[in-house]
Amino acid sequence: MTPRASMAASVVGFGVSVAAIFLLPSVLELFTLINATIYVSMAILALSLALIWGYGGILCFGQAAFFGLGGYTYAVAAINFGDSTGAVVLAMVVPALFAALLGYFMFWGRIGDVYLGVITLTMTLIFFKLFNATAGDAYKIGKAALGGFNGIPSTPPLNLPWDVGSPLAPEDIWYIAASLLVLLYFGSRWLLRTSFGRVVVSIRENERRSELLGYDVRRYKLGIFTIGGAMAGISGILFANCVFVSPTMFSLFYSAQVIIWVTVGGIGTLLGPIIGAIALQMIVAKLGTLEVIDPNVVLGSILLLFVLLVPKGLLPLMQSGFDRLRRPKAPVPVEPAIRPTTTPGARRPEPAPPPVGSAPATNTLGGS
Amino acid sequence: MNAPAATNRTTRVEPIIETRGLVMRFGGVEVLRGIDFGITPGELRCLVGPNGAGKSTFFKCLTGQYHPSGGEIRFKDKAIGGLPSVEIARRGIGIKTQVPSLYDGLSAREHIWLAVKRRIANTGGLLKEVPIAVDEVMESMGIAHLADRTVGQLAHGQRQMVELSMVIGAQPDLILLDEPAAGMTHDEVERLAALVMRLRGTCSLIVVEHDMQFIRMIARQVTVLHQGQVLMEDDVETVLRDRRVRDVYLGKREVV
Repeated sequence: MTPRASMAASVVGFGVSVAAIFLLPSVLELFTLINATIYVSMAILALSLALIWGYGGILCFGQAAFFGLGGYTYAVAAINFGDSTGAVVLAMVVPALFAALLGYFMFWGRIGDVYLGVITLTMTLIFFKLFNATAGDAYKIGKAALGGFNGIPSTPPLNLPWDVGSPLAPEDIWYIAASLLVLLYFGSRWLLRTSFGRVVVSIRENERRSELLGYDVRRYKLGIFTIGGAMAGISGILFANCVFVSPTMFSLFYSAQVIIWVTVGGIGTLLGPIIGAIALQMIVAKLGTLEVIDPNVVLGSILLLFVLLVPKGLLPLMQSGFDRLRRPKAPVPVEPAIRPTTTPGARRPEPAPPPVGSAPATNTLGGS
Repeated sequence: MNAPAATNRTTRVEPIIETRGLVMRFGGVEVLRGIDFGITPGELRCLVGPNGAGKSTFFKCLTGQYHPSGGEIRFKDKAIGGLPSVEIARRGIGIKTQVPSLYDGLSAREHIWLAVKRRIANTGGLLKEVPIAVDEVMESMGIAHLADRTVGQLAHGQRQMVELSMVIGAQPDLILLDEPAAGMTHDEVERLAALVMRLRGTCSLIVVEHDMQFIRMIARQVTVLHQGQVLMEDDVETVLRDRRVRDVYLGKREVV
């Protein structure tokens, strides 16, 4: 897409999403609206992985750990404080700090991509086991009992900032969740256009090159990883407000699902994973009510289909389809025929790169 | 081993980079076996030698990609051996690697931006100067027409030019070029030679190259590496006439 078309698309997209935010509560029943809020909170989780995996090149297999940590921090802090304002802040800070700590060891230790996946996955499973084992009165943080397998069913809802007397209704939480998604989406787009974001993307493309230019790649990776952790924390807060916190937030199910959403939606895009998250959750929910087939089988099949047939994902597929519709006669971009070089003799076609290992043809030592 | 010729001149100039007894071992294999090497500021030095002589390994030691097993590397009179590559890059060594090392998914402009931004941030300049400087670099390197093309789709010679522009855009004090002419057409090689000659004097350069025509175009002083040691070091004509140099090259050539 041309910059102008993409600008127009963002304006239209922004308008549509604002309209949807305000129209949905009057159209949907309360139960469906709460479900929609869950989808949106999950879309934020997908967005966080889209940022660190799709743009940072860091395949984090344990994004659910930050999600769960955000949820638990929120629930525990809100119960203790009574007021949710400080709890919200803490629920972003704690996952971010944890991501920073973990990232420090991973990036300064220079471990490979595969091990990074293994470590993040293991970490989320450790949290899962840990919080499952917190049943009983012994496991209390202040006034909040962690509740083991059952989690914290009495997770308090958000209230107006510093006003404990005004808890928010599910509609309000919908407005907050949906606005946050829009905000974080445009925030991420902005982030990727900053100097920081551009360097992060360069590291994804070629880490060594950025290093040889003098960029400390560890810091940039740590930065984007921490931002991703904070975003997953926000997603956890919203989820805790729609459902309640329990160890399943740390489960492999969520960690794997996010990766599926991002893959299906399109790695290296921001909108794709959001669409992927919402669409796949709707499909899974629909299949769950029909009770014809196990939704997980369908989810797995969709992933397989996309990996094999549409490896770039849904959004790039839609974009190329859109471009083809607009320009049906010129599907291949036309290159300029003559390069406007300074030397007139350089108009011959470029040679193909030589096969690896072949000696240059002009190797004429002592020859001439 | 002969003392490096550069230090034999009447007025001794402090070398910008100098190695003493540089050793690089991989397990039991000694790839660099005590290299004494040095160039003066503003000098252009060519480094030649048959495959496996240790040229690329030498470059990797200089840029911190390998940590030397022994010996000393001094750059601008400070020891840099064993420092991480980021730190060495920030102190002013830029490298064009043998296999073009580029960001295949990014545009040519983004490449130059990354180099220029690093330099300007390093010198405490303003970030709004960056776009102007980027345009200047692309204009002077003759790649302005490629600015918005994705580098992964460019031809080999164009990719070489983009990488070279990136290295030059960072304005390092010492530029290492590892086989910059490989895979280029004759015209491109001539342009490259003109460019290298233009750079000479503004910064120091070490060029590894097999293409002897290219070396004749640019070189005065040539160092020959052979089996991890400096075989000889002299002006280009003397080196090319030398019996031993022919032997090590031609001996290798029969195998190839």
